[in-house]
Amino acid sequence: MSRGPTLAEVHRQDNDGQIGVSKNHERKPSCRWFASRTSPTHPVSEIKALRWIVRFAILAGTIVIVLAGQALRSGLATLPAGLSFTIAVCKLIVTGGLSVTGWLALFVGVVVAFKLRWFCRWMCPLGTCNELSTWLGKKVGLRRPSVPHLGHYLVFATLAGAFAGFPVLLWLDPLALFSSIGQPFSSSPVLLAIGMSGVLTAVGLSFLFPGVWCSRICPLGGFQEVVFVLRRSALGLLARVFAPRRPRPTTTEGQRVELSEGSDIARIGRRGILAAFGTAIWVYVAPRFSSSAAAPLRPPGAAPEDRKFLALCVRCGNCVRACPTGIIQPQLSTGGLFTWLAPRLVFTDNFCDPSCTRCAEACPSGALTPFSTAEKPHVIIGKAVVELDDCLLTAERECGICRSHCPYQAIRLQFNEETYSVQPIVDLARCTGCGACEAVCPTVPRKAIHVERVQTIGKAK
Amino acid sequence: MNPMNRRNWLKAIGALSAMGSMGVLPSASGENQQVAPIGESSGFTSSVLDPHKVQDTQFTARLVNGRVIQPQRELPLLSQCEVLVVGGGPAGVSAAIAARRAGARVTLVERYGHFGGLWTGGLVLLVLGHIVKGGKQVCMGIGEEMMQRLEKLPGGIINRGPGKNPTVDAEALKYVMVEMIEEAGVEVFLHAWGVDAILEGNTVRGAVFESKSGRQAILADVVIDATGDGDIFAAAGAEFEHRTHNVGLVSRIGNLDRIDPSRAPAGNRPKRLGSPTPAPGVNWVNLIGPEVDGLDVRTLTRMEMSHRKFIWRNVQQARQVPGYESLYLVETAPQLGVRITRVLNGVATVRYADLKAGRRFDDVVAVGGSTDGQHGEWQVPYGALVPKKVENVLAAGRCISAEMQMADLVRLIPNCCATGHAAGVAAAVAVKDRCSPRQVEVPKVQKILREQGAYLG
Repeated sequence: MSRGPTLAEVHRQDNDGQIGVSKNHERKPSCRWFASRTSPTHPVSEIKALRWIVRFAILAGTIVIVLAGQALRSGLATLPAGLSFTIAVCKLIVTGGLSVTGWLALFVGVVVAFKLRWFCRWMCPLGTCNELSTWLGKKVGLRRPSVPHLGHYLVFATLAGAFAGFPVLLWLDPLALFSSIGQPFSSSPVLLAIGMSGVLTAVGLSFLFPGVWCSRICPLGGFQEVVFVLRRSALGLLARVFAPRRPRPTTTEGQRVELSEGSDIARIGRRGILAAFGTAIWVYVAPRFSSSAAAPLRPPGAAPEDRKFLALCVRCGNCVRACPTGIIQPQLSTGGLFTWLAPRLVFTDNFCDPSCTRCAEACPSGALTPFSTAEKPHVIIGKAVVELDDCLLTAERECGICRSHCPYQAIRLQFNEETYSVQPIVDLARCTGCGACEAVCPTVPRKAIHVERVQTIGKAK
Repeated sequence: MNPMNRRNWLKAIGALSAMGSMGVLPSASGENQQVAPIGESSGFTSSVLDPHKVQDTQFTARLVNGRVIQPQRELPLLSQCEVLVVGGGPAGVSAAIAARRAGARVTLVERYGHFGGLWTGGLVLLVLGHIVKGGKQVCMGIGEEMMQRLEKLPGGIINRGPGKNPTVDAEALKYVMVEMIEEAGVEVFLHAWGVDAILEGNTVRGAVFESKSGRQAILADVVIDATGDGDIFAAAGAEFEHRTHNVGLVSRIGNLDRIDPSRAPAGNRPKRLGSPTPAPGVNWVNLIGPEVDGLDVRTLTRMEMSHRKFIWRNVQQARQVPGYESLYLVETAPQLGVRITRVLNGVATVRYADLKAGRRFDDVVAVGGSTDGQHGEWQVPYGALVPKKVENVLAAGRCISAEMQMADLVRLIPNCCATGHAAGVAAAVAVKDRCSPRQVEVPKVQKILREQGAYLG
């Protein structure tokens, strides 16, 4: 049975700005968890050097993947956000399924249950950036004030939300934040700034209050600690059940560890209950302030209820980057802060290719449910709606372009004997809302045919 | 013996050719000569009608056991040429002029009594599809030459200018086309309807026409199918796609300069008053019409009658509105507005994805534009005019190989002129190089097209 440091110890050490405990073996050589790292076969400096090489390699690799955008069409594209243990667990809870990347993330979860914050120390690209800015902050003499363990609250709130279908703060995941830096590279500087804002905030906080993001705020870090403490407590319990006569540690240190184990689990349990309670209230109250009628079109496979989609979506930008036709754009203008960077569909000059399944495949969080090409005709984005007053055919002008461009043959030009004119009729059973008609409709300033959310159509009629 | 047997009409042909501008009988293709041995020994005799004599009814259709049988017969030769263009619309006229200017001996056959097809006879007076984003005009060549000539005629064309969609006058355009055809020296047969291809194996050797002179054949080295409906390549067994589209009927209304909309009750002003034409006070009025099969004679008949009734009543209704009393119906178009029927399955196809991607083809022979400058130019690869299997026939105009999404652009008039121009030059090059149009050296075609003023991107 391995027995590590208490969280209190870890956090004390974090005060010095170090994630985990890399340096502190010098101060507490008696602690076995540190001692294992100071064994003569693994000189600390070498490990440290190796760790930094690995971290910079991963940081560079992640940036390449995130900026490669559509050039990268393999499963690699889903890695940066998909490797998040929190996102994978929430996806599993909400959707009941996982991708290959998701299983990898769960494996990471198993590792961190035994090696506290192993992911932070070796892999997290945001963590690498933060550690550098923390170091810089400390250099200029900044110190971190006392901050509660927000990360624990955040992860419990998110997990509790996941059980209700609304993993509320999933987008705060560091890997999701990091992924979104490349999100808007194709579009405006404003989008670029907003896409970068998550990472910049985390790095900035780490500079001003050295170490605060990683040790106090990061939900993925918090989750790793929770998993670690739960694992240790569970194994401790098992040990007591199956080996009850094993002599209890008698040293003061041992007793302290034992006590701390208990207090850790109690503290974490208390935070969990508080966070879950808060989430329950949110899940109950929030619908009163949101309406999915005003919501924009979401990529195929999105939950019909926009609140649910927004909760599941981590704003990583994977779908934006995966879309070969460029119709998925990060949302900015409408819906307020909580819809920022959520993907929406824009059919101004392209549409959702009937044979394409990439956005949902690239989604790490389950916000988009994957589908096959064969299933695509049944994946409903919305429905096409015709504005007869704007339609060129109403004015007997040569058109009907929506009909010939519909990949699902859902539009026919119906001739009305009475008015002796033609109007496009949308077969709602066939229409998927792919936007082919809207994309080619030549009327300005308003398109005479456009796709609306199914709920909106229901409300309008 | 038939009053006019094979020997006689061969003589007639000789005389006819001598009278024509070309003078000499064709000698380019040896196959043309092989009609000689068939003659009387094979049992075929000419069925040409002599309109002035009582008919020998040997070849008249017969009722046999309740079924109508047309006896096998030899067809008299109406003409023989290097390039035969079937259909005298924008594509056919452009093709004939282009092929003639490229040095081929050309015969042009048209089913109605005038040139221009739907552009004139269908009163599709608005020229759409030749400009791209930014207003640049991409359809040049012979179609552009027609419009330049129209500019010189009073009342020939209005709204000409960069980035604009002009409207032409049908009569002025018919006149311009006659002028250009005559200047080029194209042999013409009007009132002759191309009804069949002449095949040897899977090689087209000419086409069969029905006219007041009966059923006659024209032999040619290359046939350009500018019928719009692909009648000739279809008869030759080329693969095609049969599509339905809206069939309408354009009309023109007059006295628009004498109406007084201010007298009309608000919200009750007549609709469907159309758009201005070069003729003062005259508007052309479009009619989309129902989506039907434009190859079905019953449907075509129904459309003609129904549309005409509607147009008349609609104008009468408009006249009831105060201020609009002087409105009157100038004419309904002589030709029904059939938009798309058969579309060739060509070696290549004009695709929407290529338009989106702005794809350029090495074998580009025509460039098309947009209706209102919504998008950039798109290229027509030579293969879109060439059938997959049948030899010696090229498609031109709205029936070239194009996806459904592109057919609505391909069928627009400037684009028909452009593909017609391309087909004409390609046919002439094939004749000169004594090869099948399939084997034509496209760079040669492109060079001549550019010399003739075409824009190829």
